[in-house]
Amino acid sequence: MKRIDFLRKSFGSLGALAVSAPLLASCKEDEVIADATTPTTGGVDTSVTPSSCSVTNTETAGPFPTKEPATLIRKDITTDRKGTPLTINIVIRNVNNSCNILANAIVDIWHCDAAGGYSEYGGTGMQSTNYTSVHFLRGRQTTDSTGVAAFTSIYPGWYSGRAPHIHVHIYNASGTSLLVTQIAFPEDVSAVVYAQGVYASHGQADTKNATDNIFRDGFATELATVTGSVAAGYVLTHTIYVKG
Amino acid sequence: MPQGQVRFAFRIVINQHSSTAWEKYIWESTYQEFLMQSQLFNDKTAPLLTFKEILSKNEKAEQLHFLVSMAAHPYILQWKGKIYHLGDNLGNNFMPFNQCKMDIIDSNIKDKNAHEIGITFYTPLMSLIDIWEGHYLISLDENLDKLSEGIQTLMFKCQPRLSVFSYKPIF
Repeated sequence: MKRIDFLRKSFGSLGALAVSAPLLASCKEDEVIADATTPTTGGVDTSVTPSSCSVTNTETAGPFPTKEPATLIRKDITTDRKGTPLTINIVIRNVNNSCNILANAIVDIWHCDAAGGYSEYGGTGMQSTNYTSVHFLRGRQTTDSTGVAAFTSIYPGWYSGRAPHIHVHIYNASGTSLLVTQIAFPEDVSAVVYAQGVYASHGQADTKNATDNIFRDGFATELATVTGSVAAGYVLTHTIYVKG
Repeated sequence: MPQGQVRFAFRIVINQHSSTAWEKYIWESTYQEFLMQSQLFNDKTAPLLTFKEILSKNEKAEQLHFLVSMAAHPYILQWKGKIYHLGDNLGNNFMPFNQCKMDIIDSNIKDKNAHEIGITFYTPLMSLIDIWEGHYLISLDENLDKLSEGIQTLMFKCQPRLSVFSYKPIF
């Protein structure tokens, strides 16, 4: 049986596909076409296979695209993460301007979830993360006229070897980096949060601020004020000084 | 024997020559994000120019692939799970995806035209029935039990940057 006949017969009966083991499939068109006579269907001659080809342009390039800011630019960074609500108010002040507030500064923050994990793609291999929910607990806001950048999130969890913290990267209005720093948490508040809810199974943080590799050189300027309760949620307020 | 459950990966490259509005938005947006985020990993006083240089000096800059992807992400969401650069043989059905990954091929903090990224889309599990005349004959149904009764199929041309990245044969 000629290969093309076999193909045709297979197509006629889908059941035959189940026993198509001898059919050594290949992406090379010339192998499939090679022993075919000129097809007569519709009078179209498809016997000549070009030596190279590329995909025909589609008319549809996709839905009409609209310009959008990066996913990072959002006030509520919770996405799909569960935890005790935390409002984060970061005040930016300018050392180069008599400690006055700095408006229009760009503030990036990121922190881990209740289990201590950061949003980040895995290695270079197969992906295991749904594309719609990969960028959790990361956000960017611009300071308002009172110098405040506000975020809505959850109380960060902890991971081994580090005291609980939030990462902060501050840029001026044109995107030039001014400071990369971290915010530390009062240990008494963290102890209450980690004893309940989705945090409980992970237990208490294993590292204190005083023994943390980053904070142990002095964390007075990095320690946030955190008020509130598990029931009502917490509010973090912290002032960061930059050379604007 | 090609019959099996598969997932496809399809990669597009976006650079200064990309022509569609969607690609241009991503190119612009990811370059701005690269300029900002690369400062985390670059030398403040004597910054290196290219992504590859930054990466060779600081392996943590590997995170830039992910961090910069946040600028492409809103545009990927606009596609609502369909790879619009991968039409079937009819031209109006598109391969679905449920995962994707962006990578920076290279970039340069002083030369925007050097900015080039790749986006790889990963399809959900589906059935590869056969390969006919340079086309993958697939069914979006991952279960081939009903094959003998006849099932709905699609044909996608074998082409550069389209790969089967996971395969489980059906015996």
